[in-house]
Amino acid sequence: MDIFEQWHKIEREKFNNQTIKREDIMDAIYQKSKGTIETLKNRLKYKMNWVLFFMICFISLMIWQYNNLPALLIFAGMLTIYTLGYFGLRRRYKEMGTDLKDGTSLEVMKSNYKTIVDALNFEMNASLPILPIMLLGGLILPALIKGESILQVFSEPKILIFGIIALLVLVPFTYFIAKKANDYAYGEFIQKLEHNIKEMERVG
Amino acid sequence: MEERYIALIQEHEGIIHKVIGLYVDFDEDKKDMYQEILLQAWKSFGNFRGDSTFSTWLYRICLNIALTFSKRQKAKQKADEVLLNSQQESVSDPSIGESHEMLYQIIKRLNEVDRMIMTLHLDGYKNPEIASISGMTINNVNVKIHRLKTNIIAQLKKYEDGHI
Repeated sequence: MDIFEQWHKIEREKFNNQTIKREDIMDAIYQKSKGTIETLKNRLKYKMNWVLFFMICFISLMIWQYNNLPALLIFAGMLTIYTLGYFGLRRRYKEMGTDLKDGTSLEVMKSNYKTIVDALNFEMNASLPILPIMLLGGLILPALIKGESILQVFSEPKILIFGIIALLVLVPFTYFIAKKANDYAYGEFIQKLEHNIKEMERVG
Repeated sequence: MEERYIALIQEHEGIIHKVIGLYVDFDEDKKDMYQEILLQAWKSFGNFRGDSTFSTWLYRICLNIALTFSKRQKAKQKADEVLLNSQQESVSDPSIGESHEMLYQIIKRLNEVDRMIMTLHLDGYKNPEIASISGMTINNVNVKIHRLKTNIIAQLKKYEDGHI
């Protein structure tokens, strides 16, 4: 049984009777990539723009509240965290798409795997400190802007209880939902890469 | 450069059709993979220095895209159904016909890495070349090809003897 001969028959019947038109090639090379890395890159860019927007908001609020020291400190803290987050996202954004598609399959898969896992982990880890700070900030800032002190705000039992419940429930819940969303979008793809990499590195 | 690229792609388009046919089943995925291959090959074309033949280089790009391609969610569900159906059909359906069609079905059902190795092997690539395209060790490629060929020939024999 000559499987090579059979394979040539398959080639003749299935693959060698189609033609790629010149226009199709031209269209394809001027289109945006729909690849997984490119999709993730766009997602990071979208998030970076939002982070930038919030940074501008915090700077504006700092200028507005320049004589209110507690509010100024909170805005400065948020601005610092968002700035760190922005540069973290930017670094990952810049690293994406620098992989060459003509490396070995194992190299390309490892590079894709590392890029995706690193970007998703960074997003999740960066959101961990930002979420509670946003929540607390949202709770106390209106009162601080009115001129109340932080102690005065937290001496109000309603705000204190709401703050604690929000921290205990909303933060893990949001984290859980974000993780589920990432798993839905990338979980199967990451597993496929992991499986293929293992399969290729397994000896014998 | 564009003209040269277009001419080379048209000359070797069989490779693109082959990889797409072997790795995705649905029109939307096929269209996406086709565009991605043409785009990424174009982006990397400047790096092509002729160290290998254009067909080897294009094969490498096509396989790398196929192995890192994320199928659409709906297509994934449909693909699972189709795979299940094709496995059931191949057991009982005499319409598969000639054994080369059966060979195609067997290769399509291999896992993605085995499919890549077997396709390259059947296209006449030597084991060290397959190792340099895939990034696997030559020893690993030798062992895999031996196992895969034995398994495929056994399945084809069963099919020809009417046991499948």
